[in-house]
Amino acid sequence: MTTRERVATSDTGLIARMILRRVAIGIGMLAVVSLLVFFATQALPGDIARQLLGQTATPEQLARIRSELGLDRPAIVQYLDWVSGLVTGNLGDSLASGTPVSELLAVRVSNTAALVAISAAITLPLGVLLGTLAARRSGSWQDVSISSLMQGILALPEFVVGIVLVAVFAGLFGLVPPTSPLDPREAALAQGDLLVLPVATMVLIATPHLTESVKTLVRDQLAGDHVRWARLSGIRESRILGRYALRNVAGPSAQVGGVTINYLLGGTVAVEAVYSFPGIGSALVAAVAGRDIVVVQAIAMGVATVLVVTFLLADLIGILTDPRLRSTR
Amino acid sequence: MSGRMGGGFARDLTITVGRHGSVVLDGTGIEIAPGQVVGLAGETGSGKSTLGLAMLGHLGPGLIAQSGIAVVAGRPILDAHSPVDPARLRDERGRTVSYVPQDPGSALNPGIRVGVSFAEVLRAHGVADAEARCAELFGAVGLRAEGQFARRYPHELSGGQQQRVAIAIAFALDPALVVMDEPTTGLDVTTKHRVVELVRRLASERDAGVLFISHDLQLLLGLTDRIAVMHGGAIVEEGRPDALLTSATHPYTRKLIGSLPSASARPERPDLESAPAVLEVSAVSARHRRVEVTHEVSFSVPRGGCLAIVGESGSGKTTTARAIAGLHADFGGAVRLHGVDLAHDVSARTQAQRRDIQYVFQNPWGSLNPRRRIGASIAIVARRLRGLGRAEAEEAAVRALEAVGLRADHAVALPQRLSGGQRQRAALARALVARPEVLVCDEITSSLDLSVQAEVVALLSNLQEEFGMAMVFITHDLALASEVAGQTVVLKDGFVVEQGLTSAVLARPSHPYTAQLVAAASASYRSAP
Amino acid sequence: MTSLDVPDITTPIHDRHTGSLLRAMLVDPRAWAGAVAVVAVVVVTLLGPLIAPTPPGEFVARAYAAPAPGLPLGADNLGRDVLSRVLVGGGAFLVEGLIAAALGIGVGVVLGMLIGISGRRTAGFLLFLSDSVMVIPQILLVLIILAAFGANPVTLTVSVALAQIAYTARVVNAATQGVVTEDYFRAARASGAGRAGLLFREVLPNIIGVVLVEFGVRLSVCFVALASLSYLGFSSGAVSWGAMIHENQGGITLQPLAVFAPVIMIAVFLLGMNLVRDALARAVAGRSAR
Repeated sequence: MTTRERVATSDTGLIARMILRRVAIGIGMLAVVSLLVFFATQALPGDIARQLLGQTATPEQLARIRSELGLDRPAIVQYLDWVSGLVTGNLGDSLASGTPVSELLAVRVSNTAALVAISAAITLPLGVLLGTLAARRSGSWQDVSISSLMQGILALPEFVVGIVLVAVFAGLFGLVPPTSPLDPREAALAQGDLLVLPVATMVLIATPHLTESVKTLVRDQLAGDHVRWARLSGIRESRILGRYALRNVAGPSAQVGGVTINYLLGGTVAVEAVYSFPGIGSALVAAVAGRDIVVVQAIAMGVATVLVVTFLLADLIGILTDPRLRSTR
Repeated sequence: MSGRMGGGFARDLTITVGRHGSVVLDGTGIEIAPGQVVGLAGETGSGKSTLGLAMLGHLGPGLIAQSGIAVVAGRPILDAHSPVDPARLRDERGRTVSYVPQDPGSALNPGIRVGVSFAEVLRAHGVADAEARCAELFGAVGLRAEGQFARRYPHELSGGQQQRVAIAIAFALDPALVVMDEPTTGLDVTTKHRVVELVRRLASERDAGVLFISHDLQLLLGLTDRIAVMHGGAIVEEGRPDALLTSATHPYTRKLIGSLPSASARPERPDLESAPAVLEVSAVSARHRRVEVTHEVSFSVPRGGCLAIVGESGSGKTTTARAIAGLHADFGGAVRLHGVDLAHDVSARTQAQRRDIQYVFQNPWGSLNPRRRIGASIAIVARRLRGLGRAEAEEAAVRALEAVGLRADHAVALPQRLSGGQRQRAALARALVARPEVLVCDEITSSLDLSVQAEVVALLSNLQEEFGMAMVFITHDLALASEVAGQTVVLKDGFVVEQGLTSAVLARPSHPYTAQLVAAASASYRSAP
Repeated sequence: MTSLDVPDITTPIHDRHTGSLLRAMLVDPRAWAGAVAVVAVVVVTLLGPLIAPTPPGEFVARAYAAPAPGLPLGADNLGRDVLSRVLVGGGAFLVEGLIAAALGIGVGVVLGMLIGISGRRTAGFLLFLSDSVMVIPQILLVLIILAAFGANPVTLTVSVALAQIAYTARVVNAATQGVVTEDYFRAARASGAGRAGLLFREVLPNIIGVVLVEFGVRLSVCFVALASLSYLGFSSGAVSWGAMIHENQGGITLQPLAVFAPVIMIAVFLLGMNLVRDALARAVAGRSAR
């Protein structure tokens, strides 16, 4: 009873505390991810030296390179060293080429960022729109056909969707280039024709999940007691959709939006491979194939950081739009 | 408003599931005059909600009106033979006929302030002065005194306050008819009575008809000008409350009236004061997430005796009961059985201690594993707690089922096949099969229909005598407590405010809160002969 | 007591839930369509190595040769028989996917149930850990492990399985919460049921529908992951559908069949699985609605 009576209306101090709490959780998650990434790649197998030098290396050679790379130190020291490097922006040097990772990835990061940003800018509104439409006509042929199409796409690997698009739009119609070898001297956004197919693929693979989730959320709101009562009080349907349904799904939709960004970032791996797109995803595949774990670690931490920040923003939207989240705890 | 035709009526309403499905309303009708409160009584599935919603022109999914009309303020709201224009129907809803939902906690839009919810309804009907009307109506339902209510969100209000907001919204546009669908279900006894007073006052002040749907006949007897009793999709009896009490003719109505708990006709139990205590609760202070919810609750139950714990929701009565059963382990103080301190968590108690205290839960829909047959659910307890073999345990289960008035072949049923009353009997059988010393019954009748409630209470008294158990009976209903328990403990906000023989508590309540409860319990009978 | 509230159960009472899922699916045409697709692909894959006309590594024609008599699907980028390669290219993929999903779901279900019945602090911490894992896209998680251990049948299967655990644990934990807060669970605790008894007699039977649907989801995800990995160059067999697609992508206009034969195998299989899984989900939802 006492918590119910407590008035927490627009309590900025409370909101600030909640945001700080979320930030702390986010940092904690990054710490867990860093432990996972580091110990999975470096500490467990523990023999980068042999990978670098091959099976024929002599023990002396191995020992020398281990001490050069600091691999002979205790794992925890190596970890702290690595983390402090990450925090200060030193991502280490590539094992394969010896160049600093930051230098190696700079252009690729901007390419992938352009790809993901454009795809998200299309996917997020599109998914919400389609999901809302399907929810309003739940059970109708429009709903069923949107839903089946989405489920079908969702069932396929990203690269299969990409290949089909290549075959149709590049092969059959010759409308756009089949691959996207971006020129590193130019900005990705200036090479729009090369972005068309990768973006289309990303949108196609990320929209279904968002659409289905938004549909479920909106449908549940529309089936709720408060909507029923609003109808029985003579409130117009358009108003009900806006104020009684969509308004209340903003928070959970933001969470789904975060998952969509997660899909998009994961999708870059396959999509960049399909189109030979010079981005982070293709760099990761090359690094894994070459066992270049320094590059792999840097990419993993970068992607995880972007996603933690994304989910933080999603939480923020939830806190700001759902008064219940503001008062409990 | 002068010249307005108030109230509303329904005539010859037949509503079926699909075109040829089962009949929900069977050519029935009702009339509500302006300023009148008409009660609509009946059990779950009697069709009372369907009739209420029909007054708003709303049919549930799959329902079809085959014949009849519903008219409010002289305007047709539902007509089986000429459909009402949807745009006009929308405008009539909220303005001419309005609705108060069962659970305002979920019916108020959680994302907007309650004042905005109020304004939305006015806006939908093109009424401008939302703020002034909001202040007026919130005042009329008694919310003004407590401050900036309009700026609060629904979750910041108590259940009673939420219901007041819902009533304010329903009366916002001075409707001719307000349909209230079990509006007091989740509320405490005292809150319930305040809401009922409010409804009476608003109806007569604003000259609105009120159709008050409830399964609680007691409540309707004290509240309404007229009561219609529904059974099997038709109104089987209708009349003034006092007339209904004295001269009901339909057997169903008589059964309903017969099952009303009577505050005076309490069986005087043999004096058990001198019997040794089987269960002692000593200074139990239970915590929920570090917040203390009960404060040094102490009482003892003599062998074969029955003690009632009475209190509203949130008073800590269920927590106390769970502490006894070891299902709520976070408490200070002690629970003793035969003078022996019990471990706080049930998993740390001995098998014999577990056997000796059995617990029956409030909700019979959740207390039996839906994937296990009734008989197996009972037999497994006999095997675990009495160490019986498989065959013996199954036999014991069947005997327990028969003892609670079920049949042997209920043993092979899954819980879904049973009605609420039957499930509660099965849950009792599961407790009895352990042959406990103490039976803890947590509001075990509150989710049952009234007539079933009376049967279960009668059964319980018989069983207690037959098995010689002590019993702790948790309830929010003082009248019910007086029927079964020799001693009563009254809890409020986690404190024991009254304790003693039930007869003494009823006759000479010492705490003002208990006096209020006693008054609320007897208010229901003000029109009783 | 006048009436005993005993209804008309004069006919023997049958248990209606055993097999009801299967029965619901048997009358669902979409489940049938999906099952036929899946079985067709599985049969082709099982019999493939026996009926392949030539060894998959043998050069039989010029690169990207068009279909011809004796070469029904044409040749690939190195002049090898596409039909033979499609027939043998799915075996490892199917086996690894099945094992990965089974491993992931097995560990995930047990972990999820344990989180579900453990105390607030422990559960909170474990959920925080699983959230942290889930913040990394799955494919990235798998690639991290492959970077450390290299790609072989065991690392592929295990890494894909590991990537599923957090997801399954979360779903199962939510379902378990639904059971733990029910009174029948408390009743079982009060009657002295042990931890194993609680998990396997009270919780599991009541979440089995969720577990089955989750297994379906995990199967699809594992197959998608393995197909993608093999397309990216991480596969265990010498021949695999994903790798074929990658190898022949450059000749997609010259010899589309070299790309589309394996694409169709993968697509038919996954779409079929999806139909079966959805039918299962509908059946489970229908059962709990009763």
